[in-house]
Amino acid sequence: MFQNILILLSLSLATNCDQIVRGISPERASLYDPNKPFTCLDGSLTIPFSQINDDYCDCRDGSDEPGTAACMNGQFACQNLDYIVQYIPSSRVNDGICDCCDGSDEYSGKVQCENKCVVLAAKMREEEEKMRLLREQGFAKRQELIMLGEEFKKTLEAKVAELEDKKSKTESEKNELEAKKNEAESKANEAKSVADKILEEKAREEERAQMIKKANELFDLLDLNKDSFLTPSELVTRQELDILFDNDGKFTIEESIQLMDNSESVNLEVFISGYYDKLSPHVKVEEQGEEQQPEAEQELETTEELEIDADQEPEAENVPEADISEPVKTESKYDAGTQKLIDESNEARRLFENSERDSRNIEREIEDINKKLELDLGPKGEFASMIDKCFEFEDREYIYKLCPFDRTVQKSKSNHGETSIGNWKSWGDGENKYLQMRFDNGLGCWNGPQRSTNVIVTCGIESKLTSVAEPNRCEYEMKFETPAVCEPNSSPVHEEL
Amino acid sequence: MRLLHGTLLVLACLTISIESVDRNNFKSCAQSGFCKRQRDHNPGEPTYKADFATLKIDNGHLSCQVENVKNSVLFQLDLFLLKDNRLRFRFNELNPLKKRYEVEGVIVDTLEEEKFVVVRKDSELVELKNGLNNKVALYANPLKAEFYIGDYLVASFNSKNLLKFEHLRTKPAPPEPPQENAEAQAEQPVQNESQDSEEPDMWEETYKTHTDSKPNGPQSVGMDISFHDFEHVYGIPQHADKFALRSTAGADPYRLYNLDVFEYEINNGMALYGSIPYILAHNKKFTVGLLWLNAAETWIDVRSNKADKSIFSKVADFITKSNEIPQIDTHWFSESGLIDIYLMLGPKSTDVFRQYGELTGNTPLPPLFSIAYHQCRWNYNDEDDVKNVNAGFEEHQIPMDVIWLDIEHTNDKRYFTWDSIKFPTPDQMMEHLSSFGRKLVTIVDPHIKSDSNYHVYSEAKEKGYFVKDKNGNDLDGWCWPGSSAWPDFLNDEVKNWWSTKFLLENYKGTTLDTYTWNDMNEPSMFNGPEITFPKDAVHLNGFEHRDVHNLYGQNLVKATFLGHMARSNGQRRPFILTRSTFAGSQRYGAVWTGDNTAEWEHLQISIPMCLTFSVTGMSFCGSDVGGFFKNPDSELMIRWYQAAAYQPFFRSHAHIDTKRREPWLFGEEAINLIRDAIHSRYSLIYYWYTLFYFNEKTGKPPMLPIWVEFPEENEFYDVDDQHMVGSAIMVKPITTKGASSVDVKFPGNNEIWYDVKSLRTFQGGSSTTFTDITLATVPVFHRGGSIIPYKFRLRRSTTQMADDPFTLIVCLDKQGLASGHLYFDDGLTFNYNSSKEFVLREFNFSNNKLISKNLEMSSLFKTYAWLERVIIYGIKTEPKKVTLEESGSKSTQLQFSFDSKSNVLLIRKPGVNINTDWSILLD
Repeated sequence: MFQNILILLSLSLATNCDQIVRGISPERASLYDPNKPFTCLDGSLTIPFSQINDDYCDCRDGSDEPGTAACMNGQFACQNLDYIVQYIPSSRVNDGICDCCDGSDEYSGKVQCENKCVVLAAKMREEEEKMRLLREQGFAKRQELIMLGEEFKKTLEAKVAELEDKKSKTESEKNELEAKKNEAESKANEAKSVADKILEEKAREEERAQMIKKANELFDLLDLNKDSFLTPSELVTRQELDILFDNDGKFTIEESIQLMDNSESVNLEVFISGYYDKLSPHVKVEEQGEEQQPEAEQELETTEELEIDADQEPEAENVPEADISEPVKTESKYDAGTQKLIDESNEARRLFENSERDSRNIEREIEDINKKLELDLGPKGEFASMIDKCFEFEDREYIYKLCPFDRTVQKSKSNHGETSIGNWKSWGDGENKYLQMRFDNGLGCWNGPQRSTNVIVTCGIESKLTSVAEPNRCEYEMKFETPAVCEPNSSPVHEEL
Repeated sequence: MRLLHGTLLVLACLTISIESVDRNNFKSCAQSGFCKRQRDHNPGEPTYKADFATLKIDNGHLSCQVENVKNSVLFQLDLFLLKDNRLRFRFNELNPLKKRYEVEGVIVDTLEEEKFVVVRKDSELVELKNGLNNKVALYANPLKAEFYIGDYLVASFNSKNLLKFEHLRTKPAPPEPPQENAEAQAEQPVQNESQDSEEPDMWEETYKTHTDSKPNGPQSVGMDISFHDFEHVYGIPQHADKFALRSTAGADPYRLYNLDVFEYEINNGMALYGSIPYILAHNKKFTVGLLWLNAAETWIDVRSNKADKSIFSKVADFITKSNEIPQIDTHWFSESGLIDIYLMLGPKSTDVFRQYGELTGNTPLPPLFSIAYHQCRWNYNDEDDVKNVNAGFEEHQIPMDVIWLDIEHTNDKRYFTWDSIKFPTPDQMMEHLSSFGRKLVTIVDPHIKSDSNYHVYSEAKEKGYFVKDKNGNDLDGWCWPGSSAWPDFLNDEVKNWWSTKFLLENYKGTTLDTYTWNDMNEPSMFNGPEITFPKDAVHLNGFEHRDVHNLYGQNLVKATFLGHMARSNGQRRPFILTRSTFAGSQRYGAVWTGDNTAEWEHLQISIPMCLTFSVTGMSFCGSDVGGFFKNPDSELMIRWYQAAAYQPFFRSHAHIDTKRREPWLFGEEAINLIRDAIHSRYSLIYYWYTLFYFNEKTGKPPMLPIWVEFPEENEFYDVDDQHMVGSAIMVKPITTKGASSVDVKFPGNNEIWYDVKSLRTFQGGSSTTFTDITLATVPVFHRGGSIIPYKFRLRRSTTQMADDPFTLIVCLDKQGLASGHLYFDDGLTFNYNSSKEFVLREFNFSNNKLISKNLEMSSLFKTYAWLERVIIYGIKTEPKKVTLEESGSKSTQLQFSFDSKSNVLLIRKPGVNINTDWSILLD
């Protein structure tokens, strides 16, 4: 936190310094010569040496008062004999708060500061040892990560190669199958059209037979005396036929005669060709009307079921066309030969489509892997092995997930609802960009921005998420430790302590 | 025509949709029964007649009966002539059906009467004079009172016959077609035969989904009050409006009804969080003040014969060259209670400040830290957050005295408790802050979570301390914790109970370095009418909430104040911030302007809002730096800090949905400028402290409109973008985006002003346009003739500044004279009052000699603070030598340097203890 005022310096320099001028930095000691007037370090003014540290600020740069709080811009050097020289703003001199670990900033007697330098130094050594170990182990692990990454990368590359190979195979297979499919389809279609014509004819015949059957029945019904002739006097009993005339509620014999075109009688053949169509819609046939209704209802039900099925079907694109599925489910209407051709064509299509799908999947897979290979996975691919991995952190209310290069998620512990708090955007800025991961475009906040996550990456022996906070509404901050950013121990530090 | 209509409608809709406040949540006058009745009241024939046969005069007290001649209802009028040129006018029913509510706990004065002389007395007119020759004339028929300073008529009551006092009456029987007539009158009690026509709103009133049962029926009171020969009136906060009150012609009256207004709008008279029914009128000769002491919903119409005319018929006025005397007519009406008016007759503004202060109390000297810089946010999330914010101020070397915790620090909005996960070790957190000399403020709101496991709730429930609904059950409403109840702070027993909650043993995790913020005390109730209590809720002694609404917030703060007194055993001065106010709230602490918005207009309005609070006693005022709602950019942030550094209460605050905005989050340039702004406050902190000391002693607020210092310069009467801090410093904050120039008007013919930074001088009576504006520009000027104590050393907080040396800046006027004061003490305790432990010095410069004089010979305070340097502005020639003379005839030659270009003399290190007698002679 205090990088700007904390400068590490070796102790040997400090011990060489004559402690005449309070608060002076050892490296500047030579500039303060008690035997000469003092010139402010910015050269702005020369003053008698007695005005050094006289608790009055003469120099604009504050250089005449290194040991008092008189200048607003001064710096006070804590000598900290058992520790390191430390700079504090001179406004903290004699303010009643011990800032230097040797307490040298509080000399007015207002407070008694205990010397904490020895303890601090020990702590610092401990910290440094910890850090050294951490770096040592972390950096070693980082090498592992790099290897892992390389392996991972190699695996991916191998996979791509394999897939490319597979893809070209699939491609030729697919072409073959397509030709087969086309051939089978044309054969099937040809046979089907012939068969369809025959079927059509057959259907027409069946229809006519049906009609003749119904006409017979009607004729029987109307031929009251069963003499195989239908006469106007027989027909006149069907009062409902008045509808074909004036519909006055009375079907007269005259009307009946007129209906039969003045013929005295007609036989079945004439009835079928001349009168069946005219009469059949109007003659009331009692028993038949009731049977049809349940049928209609059943049909309705079936439709509904079908619709529901269609809705529930999850993979709509995989559903075969209706004419393909029909033969499987029901008795074929085609003759065995034609049906065989159709089945063969369906099979050929299925095989082709499978192959096409395989080919698409392979392409997609290749694309996915290439995308991963294109990612910036660290200077030496340290982060490669974190692709497809997620790290979790649990607090009071939520489980947070960090999936590098993918997304960040907040999961409620109570209702397990997942909220996206960011999608991978980029590394941070500047030199140490790998110390920061950015995720944005998460779920929008009510009355606010879209959620985003900033991940601060630090060196750690293991890769793990160590804390999550929301310093601003909908702006999350995660702390992530990983060996991937551990730097090596450069040179032995502060051995002199 | 139709088309036009349509267009207008669309425009109207558009206007509404861009406004931030939801006006539908708050009543207009037309939606308030009594406001409509009173505002539309057209007396026709005079209605009220005094009966001088009943006149009694006893010492300074005159009383007589008054009759409403239209319905024969009788009233009692009491007129008190009070010491120090003040009067009280009290008007009530002679025999009300039940006791009408009379405001208690606001007036702290003993109201000692002053004898007067009866100049004239007959059946139509009584004239009285006080010792200062100020006159009161009371006319019998129609009733009218006139008030004179010397021979000048300054104010009159009921000169427009708008007095309308709705007497208490029994509810008329449900509609009976044949109206009762004259015969019925003989049998029924007088109260029943009102000539006031019954209106639908009188016995029940519905607003939105809320129905006010109005069990006492109509009981509003109203009267006109005119200020003669005045064109400017000020006061009646709280409104987000100009300092000089506008004419309300064509608009709603100013409304006083304490309300929690979400995203309030500026430049109108809508009610806000506070109500101080106190108005001041000022002209070249006089300043007078008038308190309408009524705690019910109140509306005030303001009309100006000049201003209203200038709007409508400037041309006509020009032609007729009317020399009509200017006059401000105000019309006051309250929903219940009685008419009780205190008139301060000045005649000068400083007299009015004193007179009002005697009446309602002055702002007590705040602890030193509380006038320094405060860092707040809704919310600092947890203990680490608090530590990190503290560390941020350390790292960036920005002084800061107080960190604040908003509602989220509690265990689910149970005040006096902590969220045990986010704040598991508040003691340690307190200790950490205290080790930097810093304080903590926690929020304590009046809504008590309805939870029988919460001790504050269960105790209050058991003791029957909660406000009741109209049916006598504890009033249940919705606020931050969900279902809540509210203690009845009108009740002194409740106040005492509440105060014990602040004892250190009861409020765990806090120390004497923990102080309190009372918010939501209008009171805010989310599901109530206009977001507050129903008016038919019931308080102590059966008084309706209607009678006491505007007092609720003040009584909470009073109870909290008692709590803080008890907490330190009466040793430490409390610091409390309140959102809701009433006349007298200044006795308990500071106020802020509420939930403002991060917009330039809100920065601008903070100045008139605080000026208004200042002149109405509530002098410890500030606004949320940066604006509460929305996100300020760095420019607005910087300008807000620069302006707020010169306002009494200096706190940054932000809504929970806004981005973090601690001073170091706006880039390097902003950090430096914000540090400079805060440092400007700290370097002047002892000047501010001295002003607050005099505020306690004299009632004169630290933040002042220019006219208080320059009462005869009428071009400053409506200036509210430029103001004084004490009488020595004038500020014109830059409050516009991308400002490239700023105009400054310099008051005081024959005065000199010194630019604090450039040392340029400006003549009073001139104005200057500054064009060299940068983000660093803050136009601040020292007034010639003043001596200002500074402490320039930049410390972490005021705690570390105690022993730091002073720099005196001596700004000579045209006669080569200057003077000033310095007050300080331990900054924390009551020892300044109980054992005279303070320093009070007067500095005078004349005849080339600067003298420090002790104004408190029996001062017992020991200080290490010394005199570091003296800077004299406006000195014509370089002295040959500068000599320090101390008591005991010791004299020392001092080093000095002189800048002949800017006529500034710098005297190096006199080094004397600031609390000794010394002089510095220039030869």
